[in-house]
Amino acid sequence: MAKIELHKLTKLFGAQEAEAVPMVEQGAEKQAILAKTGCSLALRRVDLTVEEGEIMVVIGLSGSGKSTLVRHINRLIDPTAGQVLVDGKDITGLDDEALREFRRRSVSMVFQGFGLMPHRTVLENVAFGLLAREEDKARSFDKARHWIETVGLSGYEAAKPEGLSGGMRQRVGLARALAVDTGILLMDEAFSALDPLTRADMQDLLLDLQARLKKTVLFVTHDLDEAIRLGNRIAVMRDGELVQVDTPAGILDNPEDDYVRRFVQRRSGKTGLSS
Amino acid sequence: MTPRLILLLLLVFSPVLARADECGGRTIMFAGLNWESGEFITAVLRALIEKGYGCRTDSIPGNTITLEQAVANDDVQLFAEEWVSRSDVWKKAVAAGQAKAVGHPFTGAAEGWYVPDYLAAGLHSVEQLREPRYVALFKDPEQPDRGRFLNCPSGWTCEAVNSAKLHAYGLDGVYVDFRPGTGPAMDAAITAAYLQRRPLLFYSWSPSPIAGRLKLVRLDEPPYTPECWEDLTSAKGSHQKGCAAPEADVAYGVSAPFAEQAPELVALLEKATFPLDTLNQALAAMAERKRSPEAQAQEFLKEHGELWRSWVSPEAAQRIDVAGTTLETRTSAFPWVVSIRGPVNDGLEKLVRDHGSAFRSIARAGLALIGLVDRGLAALPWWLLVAAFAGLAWAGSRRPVLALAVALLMTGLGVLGLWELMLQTLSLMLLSTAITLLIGLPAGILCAKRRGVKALVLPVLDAMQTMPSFVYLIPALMLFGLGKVPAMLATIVYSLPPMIRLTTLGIEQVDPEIREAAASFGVTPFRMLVSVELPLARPTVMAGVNQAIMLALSMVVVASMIGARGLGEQVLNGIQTLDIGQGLEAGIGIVVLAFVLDRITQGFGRRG
Ligand SMILES: Nc1ncnc2c1ncn2[C@@H]1O[C@H](COP(=O)(O)OP(=O)(O)OP(=O)(O)O)[C@@H](O)[C@H]1O
Ligand SMILES: [Mg+2]
Repeated sequence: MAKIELHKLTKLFGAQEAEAVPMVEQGAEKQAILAKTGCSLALRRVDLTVEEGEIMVVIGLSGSGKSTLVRHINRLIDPTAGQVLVDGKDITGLDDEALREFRRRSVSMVFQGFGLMPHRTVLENVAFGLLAREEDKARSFDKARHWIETVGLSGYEAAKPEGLSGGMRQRVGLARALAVDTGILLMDEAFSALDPLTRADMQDLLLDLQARLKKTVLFVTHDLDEAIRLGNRIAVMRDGELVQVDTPAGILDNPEDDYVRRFVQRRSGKTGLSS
Repeated sequence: MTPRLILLLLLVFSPVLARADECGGRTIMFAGLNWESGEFITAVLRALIEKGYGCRTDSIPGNTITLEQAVANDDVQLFAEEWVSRSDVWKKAVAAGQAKAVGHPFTGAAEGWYVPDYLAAGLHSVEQLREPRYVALFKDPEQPDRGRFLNCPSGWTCEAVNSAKLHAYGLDGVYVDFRPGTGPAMDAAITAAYLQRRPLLFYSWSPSPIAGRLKLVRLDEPPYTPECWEDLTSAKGSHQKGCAAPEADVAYGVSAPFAEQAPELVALLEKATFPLDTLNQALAAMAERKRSPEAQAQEFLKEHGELWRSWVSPEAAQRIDVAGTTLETRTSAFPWVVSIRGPVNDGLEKLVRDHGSAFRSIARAGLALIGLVDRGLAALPWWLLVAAFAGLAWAGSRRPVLALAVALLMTGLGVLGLWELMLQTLSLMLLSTAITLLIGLPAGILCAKRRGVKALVLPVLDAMQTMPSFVYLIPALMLFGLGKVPAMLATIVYSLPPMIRLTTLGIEQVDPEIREAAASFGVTPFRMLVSVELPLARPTVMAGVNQAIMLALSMVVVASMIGARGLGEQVLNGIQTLDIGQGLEAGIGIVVLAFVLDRITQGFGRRG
């Protein structure tokens, strides 16, 4: 059974999102929908399957719907239509209580801007998810210390985030997400704010951890290099639709259309320069 | 100015100038008296002089003493109701030949200590006031072991005399010498008590709307003697013996130059004496129908033609045409004019009469709370409080210099003799700020969370900040009684808006990604608020607390106008009696308190 399955997932932002659904189903243009209903289309009937233990990278231009897509998996965003199945169970109907429980146990997330609490220490930040699900304080801190060590931040437990570099902050973010020990890890441009060298370090760290932890990871990025390095498979998005889902090699060798080809070419140009 | 321009101006204004020449070519400035009979008589005289003699008139507002001084300086020419024997400033001006008393606006005026007629209870003399049952009857809600005597507002001549009498009658330890702050506050307090048939001991006088509307009993006092009165009215007197006021000599006060230049008008003043009954009726009608003094003056001119025709010269009488003037019809270009005055006034009167006791019990609870804080603060030794403030300043800012400055400033307050007053102001401040926080924080949170609530609350906040405070203060004091409770209400109304606004702003400004991160870990809404939103909003929320305290402090003088004790009262006293030194002293006290509280709250806002 697939870990995550998206079924005809549609998302519109706007006051009358429900009324715009028929237009989406008839295949109307994004612009036409916006003009007619005032809703902006972020996802159009997306179908995607993510297998247990794989890293699925979602790539696409700005505004193509990547963030919207991953936020459906922990329902930071509610779908307009369609289903999100996690471990075969549809999570779109969960009530507040069940949703909280689901978020506490089954998914965790790493953010582009880190999303750390500036008034808390590194230790408290890493323990945040554990404390949120009311685990014992001492045990939570023990676990948090373990993960701080794992991401290479030993000695910074008592520091406040503002005293840390970007790379170190994202290590805190990663440790916080790993500490709750969920099967799914969502990473929305988690490394995009970092300089290239730090970024490469963090990619190594992630791959390293993944080799041991075998999480199901949904990783969003702009950067095909990163996608190829990290991804078992890559999903390319454009204007709220999935254009191609394939292995890195598949994407590089058989780009589905011009859009994907442009991504690939830009990359080849880059490697040409640097090598 | 070029000569041609002057010529042009002369041409344009020549009719005005020609007429004004009869009054010495200048505008006659009236004292803008702030009590009803003074206002009414002023309005009648202005109408007669403008219409009958073609003079321009104007009036300048101020308190009694300032205006008397202005007559001496000839800045004001006519003071329509001068209680001749009552004021040192006036006596000095007359002695120096700067001012003159002319005629009598009325005779047979009475003043003294009154109780409502429904009280009866065998009380007829000030002698009896010392008896415990009367002390208990007139119990002061703020100091229940004493009675309350409702004096005049400070700055009024009667205020010092009454205080001297309290001492002379041996009542000053037994009764609280309560000053209402302003005339309207005094009237509202008397009227509200009368409507609710509550006991009240107060100073009053006739002619006045109170005398015209309410049935009152004047308490007997020892008979007037010149020596006794001299002693009572002098600030340096011994105040050992009290007595009734002399038969009042009320005159028109005029400046000496005016008396010389306008003999015709002086002749008018010499004859213009209002019968006391007529005057009281006019004042009662003015108060009851809520007419302006000018409107009431027009009414008077219409009804009492014979009276005023006997005052003015025949030529002037001809010029005055009252038939054409219509009253109370506000001319408006707008076709429909609806007034809410009547219903509001009636509604308030009913509320005071029928549900007054419910409001009083709220007021009693409030007073008990204030008393608790008052006594708590007063019980602390001064050095402990100074140390506590310095400690707070240090805890907030970690700056020893600031802590030291705070300690020095607070000590300075004590050295200036302002300690007790400062404590009273501080306790009012702490309590209203606490209530502001208690209401403002949840309200601010709610506004941030619910757009509907915010849309509803924002215009209310605008109204709270812009509505002139006396509009709600007077009804509040009629319902809650004079003193600290309505003062606290006003303070809270004024300082709540920034607290709510800044709390809302602080929560709305929380980084959405941090909020998302917390949500992604499944926090409950409560935990989101307490451990994410509020801590992140803290600097902004503390700015709100700081603003609330500053605005509360800016209200202390207004609060004192309805009888709240403390630094504000001292400032008000100072300005109303032209004791600038006293005003400044207390003003400095307020500034110091503001500085100290400001720095302490700012310190706590800044630290992360
Ligand atoms: N809260 C919102 N309200 C309205 N429209 C939104 C909202 N969030 C996203 N959108 C729209 O949905 C579309 C997809 O946005 P999304 O943030 O998912 O793109 P993205 O691929 O993550 O872009 P980026 O690479 O810039 O992060 C965009 O057109 C965007 O304008
Ligand atoms: Mg995005």
